[in-house]
Amino acid sequence: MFEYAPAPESKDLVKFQDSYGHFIGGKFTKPSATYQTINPATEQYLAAISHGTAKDVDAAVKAARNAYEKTWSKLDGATRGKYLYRIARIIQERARELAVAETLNNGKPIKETRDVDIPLVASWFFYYAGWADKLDYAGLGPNPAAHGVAAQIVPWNFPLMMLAWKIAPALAAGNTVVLKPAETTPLTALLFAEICQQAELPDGVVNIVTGFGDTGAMLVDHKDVNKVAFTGSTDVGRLIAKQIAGTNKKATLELGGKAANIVFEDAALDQAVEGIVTGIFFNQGHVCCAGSRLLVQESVQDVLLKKLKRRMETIRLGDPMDKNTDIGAINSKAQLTKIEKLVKQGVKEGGERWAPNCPMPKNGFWFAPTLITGVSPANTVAREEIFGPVLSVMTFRTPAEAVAKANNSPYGLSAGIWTEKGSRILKLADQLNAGVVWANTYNQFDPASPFGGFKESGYGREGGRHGLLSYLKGAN
Amino acid sequence: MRLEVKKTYKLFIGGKFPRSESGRVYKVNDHKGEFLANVAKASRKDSRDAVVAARAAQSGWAGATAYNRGQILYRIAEMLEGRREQFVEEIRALTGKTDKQANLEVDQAIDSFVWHAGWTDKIESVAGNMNPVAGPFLTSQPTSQPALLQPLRRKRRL
Repeated sequence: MFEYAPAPESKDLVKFQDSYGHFIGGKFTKPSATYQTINPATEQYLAAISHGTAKDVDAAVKAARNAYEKTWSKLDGATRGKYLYRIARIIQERARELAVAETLNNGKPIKETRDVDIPLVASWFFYYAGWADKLDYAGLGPNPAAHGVAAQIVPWNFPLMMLAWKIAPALAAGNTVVLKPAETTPLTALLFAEICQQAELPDGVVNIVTGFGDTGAMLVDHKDVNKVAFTGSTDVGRLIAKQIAGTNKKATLELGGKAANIVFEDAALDQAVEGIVTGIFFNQGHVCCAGSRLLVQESVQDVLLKKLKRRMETIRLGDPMDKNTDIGAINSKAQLTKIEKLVKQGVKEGGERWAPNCPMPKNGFWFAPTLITGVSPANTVAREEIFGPVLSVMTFRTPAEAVAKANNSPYGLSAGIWTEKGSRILKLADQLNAGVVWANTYNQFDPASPFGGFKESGYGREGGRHGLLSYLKGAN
Repeated sequence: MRLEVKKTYKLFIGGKFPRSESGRVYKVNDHKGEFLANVAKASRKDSRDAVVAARAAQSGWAGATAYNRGQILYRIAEMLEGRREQFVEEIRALTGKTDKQANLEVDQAIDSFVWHAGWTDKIESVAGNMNPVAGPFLTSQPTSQPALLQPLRRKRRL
């Protein structure tokens, strides 16, 4: 294996304040009831964050309602679009700073925040900016109306990107928002609040309340909220669905996944190996659409696994701020414990564990890229979402068996197909119960493409025209 | 007194600003009939060069991603906004419009670029039947097993 000299990105590109309040009505409140947010790669303290109370949530929803009634709903679409274009441009200008902030707070490699997360954030705002003055073309007839105030709760795996997926279409459609970032990754959302100020976005159109699950629950529960959008675990998604049952609140839920990445014997195997690695080890496997179940045709299992293991030995795990790092830190101690527990369970149920010999940093939360082979369809690691760099390997003989095994999951968010045969791709894509099907590639995202799941992976779509409809009345 | 520097207006072909190959110009007067500028008088060959340049660039432009084309159109809007004074002055001198009218015209030009910048990556999803990044693989699928609930006692309607 090659040795790489350290190539760390500078931490000076971003400066956090010592403590942050909530962003309500265009201003930051005084920090209160603070907790610490850390860098999961070093466990070093980054800033003090306010834990939102019922009072904070109420103030934020009121500010959003006020902004909706008095300013935002009165502006024409072209003007709303121009604000979003401004935000997109400022994100592009401050891209490197945001990438560094995201890496420090999340633990994911700078390579990914710099080349994937932040460019997608900018493109999302740019895309939906263009929709703001074209709502008549969304397919709902002339002058479709916004819902009003949207409560949005985002996860820690792509903090700023999930914020963009939520805020950009909501604002384009004419809603105002209260967003709660995940408790472990609030910093880029707070930097985004500053960007709203720089863009001179009218006060109260975007409000950000930080805190834990209880803060999120209070936000969803608030009487004056018209629309709820949540990305996160299926368990919490269920709670939210129950919470809003019987109300007029509309919901978009983007939940868990256990995607099958299906490799046929005729696939370009080296290319497939790269796709498998991208599918499961991108972002430490903290991806709801991660290709966490590898379904490989029996005839090529041995050669594929040999190639895959050799490739995994070259994966570099370590300092996320280093530009050569492939796998960064697990976002939190709790997540690390969960991954360890599930992997142990999988081994107990007959799986065979393999990981390359990679040195681990002393501080921080780390988990080596791991394969579990010999996994039966009933094994816990074949059924439950691990949300870590762990790939469960299963085999199949015929395309029909591949489809049956792939669909044998409570989830249905995404799937991958690797084959040189175009007709097989078309047929399988039709048969797989998955919202997104990638063919000979994996983990590709674009703001123009709708994203969302079947079954317990949630309902509603984000991205594209469909994602816009989630924020307009008259669409389901 | 400082003597104003006048601008020479030329053609714009293939990313360059050439004079007309014919060497000819024509006079453009302002709204009062006074001399404003000599403008290149393009010949048949200049038109041909322009069409050749446009044809040569077409496949590259059409092959650029929709996102990229949108970014470039938006960039034009940004540049135009930054140079609006020049355009307002030129419109006023040429047409005799008021400051307000000329500003409105420039506003509309800028906004038109912004409007179309937003269309590049949406045409397919509005006028076509596929999105621009995913393949044409997926058709709409039914929700499989809807559970239909009816109230036990319904008012009878005849």
